[in-house]
Amino acid sequence: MLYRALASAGIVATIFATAPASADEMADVSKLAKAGKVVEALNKTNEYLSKHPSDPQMRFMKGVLLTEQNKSDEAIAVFTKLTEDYKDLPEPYNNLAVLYAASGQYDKARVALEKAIRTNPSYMTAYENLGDVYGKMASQAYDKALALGANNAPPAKSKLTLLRNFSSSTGAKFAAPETAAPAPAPQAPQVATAPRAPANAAPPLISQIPADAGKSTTLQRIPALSVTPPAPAVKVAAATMPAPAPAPAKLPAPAPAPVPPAAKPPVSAPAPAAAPAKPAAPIPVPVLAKVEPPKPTPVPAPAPAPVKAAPVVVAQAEPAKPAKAEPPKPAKHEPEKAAKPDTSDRDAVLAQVHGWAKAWTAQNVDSYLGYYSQEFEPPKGLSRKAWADERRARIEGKGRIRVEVGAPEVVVNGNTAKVTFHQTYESDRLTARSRKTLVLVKNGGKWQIKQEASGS
Amino acid sequence: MSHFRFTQHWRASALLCAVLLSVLGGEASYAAKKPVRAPVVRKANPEELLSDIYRELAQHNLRVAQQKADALVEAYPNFRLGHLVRGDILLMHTRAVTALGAAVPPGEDSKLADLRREAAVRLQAEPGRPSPALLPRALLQMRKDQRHALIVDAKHSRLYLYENRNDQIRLLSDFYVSQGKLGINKLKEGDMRTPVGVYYIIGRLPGIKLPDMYGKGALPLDYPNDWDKAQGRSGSGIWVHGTPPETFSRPPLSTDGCVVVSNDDLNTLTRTVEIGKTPILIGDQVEFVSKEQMERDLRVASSLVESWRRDVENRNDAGLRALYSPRFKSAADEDVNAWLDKNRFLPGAKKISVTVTEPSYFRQPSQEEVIVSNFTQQIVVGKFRHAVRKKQYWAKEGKSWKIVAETNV
Repeated sequence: MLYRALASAGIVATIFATAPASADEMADVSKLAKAGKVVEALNKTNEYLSKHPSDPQMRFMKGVLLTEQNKSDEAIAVFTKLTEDYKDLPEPYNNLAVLYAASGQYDKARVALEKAIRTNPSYMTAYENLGDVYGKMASQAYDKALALGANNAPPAKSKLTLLRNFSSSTGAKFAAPETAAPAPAPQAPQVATAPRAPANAAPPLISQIPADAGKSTTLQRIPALSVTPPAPAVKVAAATMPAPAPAPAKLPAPAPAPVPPAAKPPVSAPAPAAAPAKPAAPIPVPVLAKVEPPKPTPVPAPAPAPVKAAPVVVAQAEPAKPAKAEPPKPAKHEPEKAAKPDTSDRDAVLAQVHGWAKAWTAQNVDSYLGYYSQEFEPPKGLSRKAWADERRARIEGKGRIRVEVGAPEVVVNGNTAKVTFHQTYESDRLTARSRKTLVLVKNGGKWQIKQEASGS
Repeated sequence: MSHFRFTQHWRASALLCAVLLSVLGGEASYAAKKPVRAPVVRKANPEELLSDIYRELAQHNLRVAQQKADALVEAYPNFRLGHLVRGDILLMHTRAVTALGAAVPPGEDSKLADLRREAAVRLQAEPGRPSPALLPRALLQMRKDQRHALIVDAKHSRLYLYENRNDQIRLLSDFYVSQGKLGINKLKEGDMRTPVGVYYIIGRLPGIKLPDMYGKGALPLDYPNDWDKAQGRSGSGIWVHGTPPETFSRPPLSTDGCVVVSNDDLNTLTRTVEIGKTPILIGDQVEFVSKEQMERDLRVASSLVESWRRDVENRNDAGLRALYSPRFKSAADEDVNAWLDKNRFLPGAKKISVTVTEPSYFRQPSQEEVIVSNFTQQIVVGKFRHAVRKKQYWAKEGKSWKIVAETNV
């Protein structure tokens, strides 16, 4: 009962910027599948894959076809492999979840769906915020259930996280000097991405838009996957390119966990980034949709399908091909490594970072806040107090939290130190891995956090 | 091209809820068979809505369940269990919920436990409802003019309202009830237990004249009855009553011995019962049996009274005395001999005729087997005629039934 049969036609989102060459093949396969000729479609798919074994779109198609044939195990294998090769595609995860759920493996299904959501940091933030809203409503409901209403304290201040930036995959990126909320998730990716050289960026960016996003019937909360002939996509992409700077710059933003390689590139060019960003995002609280001119459906939030499809596409483009094309690695931090390491400072800095993570884990907010310098610049232009309150609500509001610092790299430069590490954040609600950068300053012999940035 | 289509909500949490459901419904079957509903038209009560919500959850329809939960608390804002379930459903959107009241803040354990118990019994209501083919064993035979009877199933926190028409009894409705904090088997004043036995509704008290806690009103019972008195059970003021304005229902075990129903249900009962006539049978062994079984039971009961009648008529004092238990005590604390002497008419008369009319037989729905018979005894001795309404309590002692209490009404 978890999913209705793979019925009729539906949304089509080309996920991968594949070589146009496959367009015809895809169209053929799709046609066959649509006509119910699953076996033929599958044969054709296999045939194609024998020549282009890595073609993600066709592999995806194969997974769908196998699913239609009730060959769940094989379908699972196909989708699993896809998730390994393209970590930031939500669709294969989603379909894996469907298959797991259909066989009663709800734990696995859950994990897969969480990963699907995590492919886009903005969605994850939205998802977490949604969770907070539901949690708040639940708590009100419980108060009524237990007749606590009257004696209960007024609800704590909202602890929802505001997104200050566009996530890489959602649209153009903006420099986000101020950094998103440090909060748990890999929230707003403060990826400072410069709208890259269009020439370069463009081709890979080719993104596809749901060819027939209009088919609202098929829109689901969890968009079903489908494959589209690349053709329309290409067109869209073309349209996108001419667009003003920001849009096309879908750099791979890196944000959340799963996309390590893609993540890096955007980071470079921090400076320019800031500038372009501003104009594009005049409003501090940009709605995701705003920046997505290319998309047919602006979709603020709920209508998941179209939105999802679009961003995804972007993300994919990168890992698939572009990634290789432009060796992105010039990570921001590296160059600065020049600084002379001073072990004592280094150790002191590391100790602070670990202490900070520990206080966070212990949900000891007072101690946690103590790691932040008076000079700390709260994100989103919040006042220190507002920021501290938000952090308190966020941290104390969780059932449990675990924060781990992995592979820290420390660069000390006089009284300033920059620590970059892999942050693993786990709460009762979510697990997230992200890249985190802390800038610490030494005040009276004590290192304290002055800046906090997540993302790559 | 094809794609996956999900029926809306399909989430792990929905499944957990199904698990929860099954946990709650664990012991959901007693003698009853199918949840076939008697054709009674009645607006959906919150309990039905609740069951409906759980059905949706069991089918992974989280969104529909959410809508129904929202509607439920809107319609019944004081139905606390509704709020609890709604809270869980809200959480289910983003996380697994493994127990009812999953994220209730600590410190409210007893309230939560109460709500969980209430949920458990309410969710059992429908599966536990007897099929129309089965009859309540307790109502062996009602008098023709007794239009209704109430049976309180203490074990399942349920009150059944039966209608008696044309010698047929039929389930009209059933309600969730709360009982004494310490359960049943009331022995003495203040023991916070609900009595077990065969009682009658003996009054109607409008809520307006009562403190808030009684809600829309109260229906007093005749506790303690003769058998209770003979056994020295004490206490008084056992009522069926409503709930205070701030809550739709009370936890299953929450009263000082009264039987509490929602105000809506109390209104229904108040309109239905007849003072002094409507029996209310309370116990923890409410059984639903076939018509054949009922007839067998009734034959046993009526043959008891018949043997008693014969012995009275035949002036068989020894036989008559043997029908009484050594435990027998009259309301005036007399023993068997004193009682029989007092009830002997015209000892000198040669020939008397005794008839028993308008009988009713009720079986106490408890472990202890007690049959309560009510009948009119007519004695004709020549031109002398005497009629008296009698109530006898027969208890099973070993293999035979003995009269343990008897009164002339």
